[in-house]
Amino acid sequence: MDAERKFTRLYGWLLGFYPAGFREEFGEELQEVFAAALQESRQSGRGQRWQVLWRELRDWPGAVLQAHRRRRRGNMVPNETIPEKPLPLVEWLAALVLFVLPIASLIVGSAASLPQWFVLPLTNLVIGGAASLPGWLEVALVLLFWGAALFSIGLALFRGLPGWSLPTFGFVLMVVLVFSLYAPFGSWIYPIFRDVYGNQLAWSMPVQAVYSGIHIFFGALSLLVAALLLVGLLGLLPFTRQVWRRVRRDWTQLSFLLYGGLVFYVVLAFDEYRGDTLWKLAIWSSLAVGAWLYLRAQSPRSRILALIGGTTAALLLMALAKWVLIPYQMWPVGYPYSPSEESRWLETGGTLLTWIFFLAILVAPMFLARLFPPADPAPATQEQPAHA
Amino acid sequence: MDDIQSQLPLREPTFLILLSLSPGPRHGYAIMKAVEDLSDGRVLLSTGTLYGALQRLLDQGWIRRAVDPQPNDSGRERKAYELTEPGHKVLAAEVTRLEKLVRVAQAQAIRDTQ
Repeated sequence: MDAERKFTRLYGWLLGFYPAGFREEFGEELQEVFAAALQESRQSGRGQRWQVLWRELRDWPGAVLQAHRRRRRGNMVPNETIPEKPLPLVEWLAALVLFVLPIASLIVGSAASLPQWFVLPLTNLVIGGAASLPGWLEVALVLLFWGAALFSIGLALFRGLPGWSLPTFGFVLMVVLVFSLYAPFGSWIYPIFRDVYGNQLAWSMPVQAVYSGIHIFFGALSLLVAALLLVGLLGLLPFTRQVWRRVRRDWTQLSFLLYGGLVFYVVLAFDEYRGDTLWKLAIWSSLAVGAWLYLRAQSPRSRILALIGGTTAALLLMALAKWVLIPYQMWPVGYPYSPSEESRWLETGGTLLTWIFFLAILVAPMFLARLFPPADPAPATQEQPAHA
Repeated sequence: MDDIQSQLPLREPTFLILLSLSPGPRHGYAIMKAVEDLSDGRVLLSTGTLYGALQRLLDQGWIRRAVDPQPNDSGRERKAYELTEPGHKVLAAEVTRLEKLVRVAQAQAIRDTQ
């Protein structure tokens, strides 16, 4: 019996040579089967036990090499066959809070504030705002919205920050990045942008376009770098290490995190605009549909396509909105932008550039995953759904 | 169908593992014993070889995890494996291939004896 225990311990040590992912997936079973084989061989005599041990030792180097080879090969292609566990309804709702809340608050806000008006495309029809809501209802709705947001964040923390909660990080990162532009350290990160903001009108249009392009490029790049730093930082902390591991296994989770930044970008893009309510509703709805499709998708390819679709619909709508709305704006003289034809081209062109750069950072994690393959590939089991 | 044909012939341990799962789900040790029985004690799999093959078959989508129909003495649920639809098809295609081979060999043997 003692000898058996020693052999089992030795076997456990030999298992350490297998790749970590293989051990995680099969280690327990391997030990159980080995123990069972050893136990049965005891009943058949000592010779039988040595046969079992010899067989294990003989096949061990080949099996270890094979497992390492499979791990390396597995890293070259995304695992398309990971079966997904359906997300529980409560997590579905929590996942979509970030995308649905702006829509709901915009609807309520439009209904509550009197001087709202919309400029519709093509007809330029102006519609008056709805009547205000009773005070108690406004309070109830505000409580409901805050409750939904806190519920989503609380559930995400409780569940160990699963993939569906990552867009909230993207949203926060975008907020931090935007405000860092105006913070003291922002001038170090973006020296040229702070100094020239407000002076662009003195430049020729091509120079303004180049400035705008550089600004957008650095903005998108900063978001990607900040997201990578954040996920890397989460990987260093024991409580959140699993987030890093999941992102390494499914790179689309990093793309989903970045996608969350777009929710705040909509607010930023329509800063100082009037008549944008319907447009923002359509844009946020496009983002929500993209997120919904992402959560339903069964393979990395369809997940990234869902995000590309949502981003494309949202930013093309945004470009169209700016093209339509700018002539109707009443921006004050001396404001960096004016409702001129020049601004119309620059704002619309800038949004199209944002679309291109954002698509680039959405697919960038795919290339990063290929450049730096994870140490352990995703085990093809039902225990590890990609969005969980 | 062409896709399945391109996977043939199967290596003997692979064929025997799939065959051992054709009656229904089995856990790792039961597969090991079934392979031994099916091959009349000729193919004796080590744990490393067995689980290397199971990992490959999982990746190929020919088998999937299932609930073990025979829980062990401790009552703890063990991990078991079962054939998927593609797994059944590949196994059937390999059996057909082997049948044809045997028929050809038998016909040749009959001709040789005449």
